[in-house]
Amino acid sequence: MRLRYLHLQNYPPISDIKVCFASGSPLERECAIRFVVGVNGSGKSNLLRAVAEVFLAIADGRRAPFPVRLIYELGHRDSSRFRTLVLDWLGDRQSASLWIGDRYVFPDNATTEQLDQTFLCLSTESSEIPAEFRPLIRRGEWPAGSVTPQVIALPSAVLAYTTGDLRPWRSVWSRNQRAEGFLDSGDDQQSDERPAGWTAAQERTLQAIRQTEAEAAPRGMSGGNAEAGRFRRPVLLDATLLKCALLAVALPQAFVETTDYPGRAELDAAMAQLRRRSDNKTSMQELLERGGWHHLVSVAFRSRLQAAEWDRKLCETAHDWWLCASEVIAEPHPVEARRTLLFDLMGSFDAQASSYASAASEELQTCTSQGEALWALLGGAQDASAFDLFARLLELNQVGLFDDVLIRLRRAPAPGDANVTEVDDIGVLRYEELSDGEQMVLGRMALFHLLQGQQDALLLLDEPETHFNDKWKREIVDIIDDAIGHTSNDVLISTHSAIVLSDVFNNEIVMVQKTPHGSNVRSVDEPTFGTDPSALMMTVFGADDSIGKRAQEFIEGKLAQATGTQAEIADLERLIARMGSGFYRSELRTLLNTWRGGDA
Amino acid sequence: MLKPIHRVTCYPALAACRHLMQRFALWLCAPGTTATSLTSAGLQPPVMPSAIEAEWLWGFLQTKKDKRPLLERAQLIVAMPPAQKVALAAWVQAVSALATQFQAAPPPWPVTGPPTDPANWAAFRTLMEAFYDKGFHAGLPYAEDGTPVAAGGVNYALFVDAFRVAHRLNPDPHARQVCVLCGGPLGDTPHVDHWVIKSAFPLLSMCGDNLTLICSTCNEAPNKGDKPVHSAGSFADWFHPYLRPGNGALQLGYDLHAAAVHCSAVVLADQPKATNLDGLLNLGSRWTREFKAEYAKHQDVLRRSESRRVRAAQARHTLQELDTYVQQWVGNLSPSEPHHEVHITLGQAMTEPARMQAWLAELATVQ
Repeated sequence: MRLRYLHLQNYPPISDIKVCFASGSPLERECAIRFVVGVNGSGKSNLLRAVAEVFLAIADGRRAPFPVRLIYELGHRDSSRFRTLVLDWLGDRQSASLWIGDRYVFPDNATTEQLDQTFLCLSTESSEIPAEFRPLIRRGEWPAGSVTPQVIALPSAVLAYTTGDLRPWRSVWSRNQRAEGFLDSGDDQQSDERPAGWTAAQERTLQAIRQTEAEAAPRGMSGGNAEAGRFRRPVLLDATLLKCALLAVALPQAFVETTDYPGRAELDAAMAQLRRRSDNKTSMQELLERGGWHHLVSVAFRSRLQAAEWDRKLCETAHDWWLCASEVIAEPHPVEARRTLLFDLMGSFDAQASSYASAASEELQTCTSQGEALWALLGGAQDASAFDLFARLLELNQVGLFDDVLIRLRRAPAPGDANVTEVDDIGVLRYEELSDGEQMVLGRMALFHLLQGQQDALLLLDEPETHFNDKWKREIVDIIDDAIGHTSNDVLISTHSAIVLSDVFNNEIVMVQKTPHGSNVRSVDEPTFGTDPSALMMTVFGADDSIGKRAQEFIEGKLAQATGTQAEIADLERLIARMGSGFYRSELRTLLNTWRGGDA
Repeated sequence: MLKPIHRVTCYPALAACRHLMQRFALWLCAPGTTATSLTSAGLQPPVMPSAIEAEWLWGFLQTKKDKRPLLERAQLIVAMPPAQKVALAAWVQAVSALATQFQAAPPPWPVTGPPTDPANWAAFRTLMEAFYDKGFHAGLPYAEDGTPVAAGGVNYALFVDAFRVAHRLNPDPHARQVCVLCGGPLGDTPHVDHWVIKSAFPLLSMCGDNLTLICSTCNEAPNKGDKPVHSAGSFADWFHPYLRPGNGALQLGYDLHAAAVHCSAVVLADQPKATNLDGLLNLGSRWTREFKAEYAKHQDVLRRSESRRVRAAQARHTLQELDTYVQQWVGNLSPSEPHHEVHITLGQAMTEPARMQAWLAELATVQ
């Protein structure tokens, strides 16, 4: 996945922007990391949301409700499945089109004009179209009901994450929900209206309840198809899903530790496979420890049991989950059957006594600990990557098997190891008891590592560096690069941080500018790679000076003074003694020398 | 304007295009021209100077802007009432005489557009700007020396290349190029600038004396942007890239008390022009920024060298060594590098004894 070109209109505050994304970094990374910067309110987040909305629209087989043109690449450039997609929704419905170019690459240095020219060729279907191109959806044929281009035109995953307010993002997601559920009834009853923030999943549950009420019979297996499609639909990561991501990444980690003892043959094979990636494991473990995480102790899922509404397949899954959990705790509630399913990862697990209903039953028979059982329930025994685990968790969360994940962990090794005494041990912590910053760092690092073995994914990060101290900010690009630098994923990051920008090249930065006529973009000409962040503050963000305004005004007041008395000289000496080094201190020294020179 | 600006080799082609525009605009405003004359045959000589230009112009009028052919705009102008036509023709004549503004006793400059209907003015503006947006990008009907050619005429890309070549200070193709206005780096994405903005004076959209290639920082707000390059119609206190060049007339100076680099004129009489140019491009503050950056760079080099010496238990820098460092660095400055003038200013400031002593005291604080 690689975004190449975006032409966006009428997406307030963005009026009309054309962005030619940099391609071919001098660092020779397969993964593209690009940055969007700008002052507050310039529309950085909106640019990210617009990209998300385009892919949501493709996933839902619709056209985005704003004019947009997008060129992106899917697949590895050397592979035979590589393709360039050219999407043109700039005009009305009649002129909307989607073209695909198999194994066609726009040159890395293609300019906006050249790409615009391509759009012109494609829209007029002139003879200058490169031979590799064929229309997926031709002009005037939108939408092509029978042909669903999702599989060929969508990245393998689109994940969006924001540290800001989730509401505007949610509204983008709910604006794009499928219309199926809504078009059934034409009448305007109050009961057919939905509150704000109502999701497609909720709607389906509601429809299911109504249906069961009417028929008093469980639904069949019809949900399977919709579920397969939903996984490729862009995902907005909220707190719960971020914890799922963390769990998906940390579970294999914990699993390796629990099976350090000689196990069964299949598990040995799984272990060997994990050990081949042992360098990943250590880098991941390091990151986890930075976030105050030593190891995972237990995982609990909060669920609302709705056996009547769930379809049969889901009931079977739930049945196994209930059987495998070490404890199922009922929460008091007047209407709903609320349960918390606890998996104690190190706890022993006896598979023989139970009979399983779901597909994972064979793997479950061989499990010896609850960690392994959970791993098997999530499909981990089949050499699944962290992303597969996450996809499974996401699917189960969306169909309503669980609402929340509770993670418990240890900050330090458990006592019992020779050098840790009982007194020092602070015991098991809930994830929520970690500091804000630690939770953030764990969640975000998990997100990057989630995509490690994944290809063709798009990650949209809205100001991922907020809550980080300056030292962590300095490392964030490196962490992304380490985790997914050699995968063909694309990361689009909006940021305010000059510190982050010192890690990237200026052509990888898109600067959004606020003007009275809406926002537009400009390229950043000043070199940024390996540049001092305080210099970037001035060149990219247009700060007047590298020091704070208060200090600057005071010092400039001093400098304006032509001569000084003895007392003022003594004052200035004291000030200099307490100042940090730099332009202003040495200029004040120069001033001091001229004052002294004048006296002598 | 810090650097000399030359007319490029394809200047005659640009001048020919401006004449064509002027001739065409005046013909549209002529009382005898009606909608029926606006045909391929109607444009043939003697209306246009040659058949090649007439053919090109007819093709040009078929190009679409905002989904409507330019011909519709021309038809709108032809259909204007006679009074408006006279006013527009007078305006065209006045704007065409841009060069006279830089001679003694210039005629009045039309600060506002001609008194025509806004719709007609918009049509005229679109039509004239299209000579640049569409015509120039696709190619003019002129060879570099201004002779009409049916194909392979001068275009935008050729002009940009020619301008780059004519103003290249260092012949090495990899060397960074310098912006002729501010002396900074030209950058990867320089802009073709209309010195007198084309939105207010569309007739000057294709004028050899009005086009320069400058860095994007100079061209964009809050620097040049859409600001006027005259004071209420008077060009007396303004430099002009070609007609009243400012190179050699400007000088830089560092003022300790303001901690800033100032842009001033060498000759006192030029001071208002220098002040106006500084206001237009914010040269002083931009140069100050570069001055501080370079200042910080050298101080950093010295501090790191000092700390290496401290670690190796060697003697610290002496005043003599500091002086040698500055001399050597100033001696190595090349006039073809971006920001050369700012660096020279810094070099001069560095040699002042008070500052040299201050730097030595700064280095003494390195642990």
